[in-house]
Amino acid sequence: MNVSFKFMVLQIVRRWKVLLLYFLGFSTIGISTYLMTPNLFQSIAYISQEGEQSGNNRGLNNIASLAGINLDQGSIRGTGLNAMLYSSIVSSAPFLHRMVNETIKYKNAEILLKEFLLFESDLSLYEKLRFFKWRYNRSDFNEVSLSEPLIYNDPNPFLVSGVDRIAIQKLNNNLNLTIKPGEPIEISSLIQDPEVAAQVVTLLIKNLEIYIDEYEKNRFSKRLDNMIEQVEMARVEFIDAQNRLVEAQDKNLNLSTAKSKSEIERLDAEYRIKFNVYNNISLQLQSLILKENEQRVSFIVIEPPLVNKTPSQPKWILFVIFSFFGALVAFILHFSLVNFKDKNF
Amino acid sequence: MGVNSLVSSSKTLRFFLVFLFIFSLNFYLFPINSSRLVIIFILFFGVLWKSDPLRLTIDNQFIIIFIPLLFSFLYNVLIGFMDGVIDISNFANLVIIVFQIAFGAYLINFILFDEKIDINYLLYVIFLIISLQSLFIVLSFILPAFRSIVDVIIPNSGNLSAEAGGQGLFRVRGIANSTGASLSSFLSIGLLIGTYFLAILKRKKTLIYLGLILIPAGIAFTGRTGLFMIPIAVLFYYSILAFEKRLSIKSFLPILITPILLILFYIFFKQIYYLITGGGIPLPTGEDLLSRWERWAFGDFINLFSNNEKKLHTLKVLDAHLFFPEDNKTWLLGNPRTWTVDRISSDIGYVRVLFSQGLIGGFLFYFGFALIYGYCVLKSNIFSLKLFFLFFAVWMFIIEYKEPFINHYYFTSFTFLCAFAVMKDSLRAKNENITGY
Repeated sequence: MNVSFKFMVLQIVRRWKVLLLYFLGFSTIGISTYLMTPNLFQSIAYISQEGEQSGNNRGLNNIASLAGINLDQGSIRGTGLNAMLYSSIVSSAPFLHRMVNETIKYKNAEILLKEFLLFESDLSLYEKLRFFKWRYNRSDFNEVSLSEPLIYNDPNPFLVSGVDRIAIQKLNNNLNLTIKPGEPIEISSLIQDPEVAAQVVTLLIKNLEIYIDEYEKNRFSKRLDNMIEQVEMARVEFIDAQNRLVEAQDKNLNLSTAKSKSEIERLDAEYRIKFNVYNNISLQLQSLILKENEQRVSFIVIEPPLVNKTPSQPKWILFVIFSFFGALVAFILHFSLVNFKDKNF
Repeated sequence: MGVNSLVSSSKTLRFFLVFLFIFSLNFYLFPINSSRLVIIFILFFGVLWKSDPLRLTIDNQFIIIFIPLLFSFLYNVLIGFMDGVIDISNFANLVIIVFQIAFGAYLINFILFDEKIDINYLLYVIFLIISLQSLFIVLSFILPAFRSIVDVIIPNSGNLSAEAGGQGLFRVRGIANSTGASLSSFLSIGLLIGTYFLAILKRKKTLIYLGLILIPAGIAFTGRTGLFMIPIAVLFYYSILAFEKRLSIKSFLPILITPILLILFYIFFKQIYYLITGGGIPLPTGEDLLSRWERWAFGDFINLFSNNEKKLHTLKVLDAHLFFPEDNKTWLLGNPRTWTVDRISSDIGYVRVLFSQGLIGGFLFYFGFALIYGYCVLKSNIFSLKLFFLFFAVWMFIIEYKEPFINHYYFTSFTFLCAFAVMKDSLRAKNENITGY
């Protein structure tokens, strides 16, 4: 049996009370969830990497990209650490662990970021419904969990309880680092306080610089050690060749035989080679030492993190749209099921 | 002849409206996409020009099979609320499916198309649309000027880079907003329709043959996924013949001739390409465009038969995309943010749906679509058509492993257009039985 649209429209008109009920019901759900969802404030910063990024352009390509000009045809090159890895670094446990233990200013006091995330922030709607509480209390965490060390190699670190672990998870969900070829690096945070959100972005930039700096230092140190070792080896070989040459010259001082001459020539050639090697490697070492201070990565902050007093989330209009379509579809479902049950179809 | 009857008799207008509805084009000139423009156009003018009586009816069974999809919609609203309505992608997809695509497909079938127009006519129109799009794709590939004209009219929303060596250089979009696996997979449905008509038609197959030559070319210049349809279409063709007891030695000739024809066509096309482009289109890397395309299109297939480590790169990549949620909440209820805001690093449709909607939402979603496919299979009035929809459903669930295609507007548009056409045929058959025709 087929159902005409006219019949359906009449059914809907007849059941206007049910329709109204669904709209009221979904509006109530929408308003309740909107009110129970914590406000999140977004802070965004745009940064550009300074260093050996693009030769003569340096960080200018990113500034130019703000004006729609692509100077370096989209290549992303860091000074050693690939810039595409920044996003993974920022979401890694060691990095976030360092971040949550940083001090921030909140309500004229200095507290740790993890304290803000856990004890000053509301739980998400799902967590509220799950734990039947608005936010965590300090008493929720015993001494053991407070002092529990973080195991970096744990592949699933958030399954184990602990203040740091929960704080890391919360922070990880609210940080974002976007890198697109030829564009500045976008760093954003969504935190329940606008000033803390801006501070978190600043901390992230600072910690990322430290992280990259440490990486570079470590890499440089290994390279330097290796170079010193090579210089030492070349020096030993050079001295050895020099000694052998001097010894031969002294031994054959009053002789002018062809054999003694050729031996001295051979040792002299060998000495010159060793000297050149030693000289070259020593110069490279000196050059590397001179570079130590200039090869440091830093970021140019194109757009600093601003304190945004208007919450970015939740958006009330989306709750209205969800409620409207939810009620509409629920009514269509009700209409279909009731008619199916009554065998009207 | 009045304007209304002129419009009514225009098959070309119908053809282009269906084209615009399926490909849902965004133009620089209009603030809304072509799919919505078609709906508005039909609502404003369709009723006026309709020559036969307006019968807006719906099959009761169709309403029933639509219920799981509505539950899926409702479920997405609820988990969206729970998450603070941050990622609305799933919800927006379902709004488009229910209130735009299903509604538009209904209007096309019941207002734009006359009462007598059946599912075969619709499939034929869609086949021609896919063939035409394939032709546009081939033109885009060989004529950079054509591509430039399209770029001026239709914005490119794809993610394929056209920079030096980028796939955007040789994976072209024809008259669509983007190219890629979705377009390729959709074009491949043209192959299935083509083989369907090849099997059921006894005469007038010229356009079908032409389309069957153009469509593989269109697929090859957009994505490789669609090429996997070729063995499925062949199997489908011989399944129809086998079930209709028409299988003979002669019927195996096409399987031998078609590859030869395709190779000859490709050689011919290559010569035309070099002729038009004056010896090829050089890329910034120094390579010729067609050679670069050949390396991309057949590289994996060549590696499959060689003993090197690069065997089936695509399948290796897909394996890396196969992983599952780690917490019970995501397993059961899903996390809507994993679709766009915190997008997981997987392309596999099942994995993405599992992460975003959980087992409950995933079941409702796939069950909803399986019922619609099932409806098309069961309600089709001829056996070969039932088989067609069965193969289409299988194809959909296969390619879902590549990317989430089931809820992609190309495929949902096709699905709902067919479902309503099948419903229309079924209702007409019932009415004829009742009235004693």
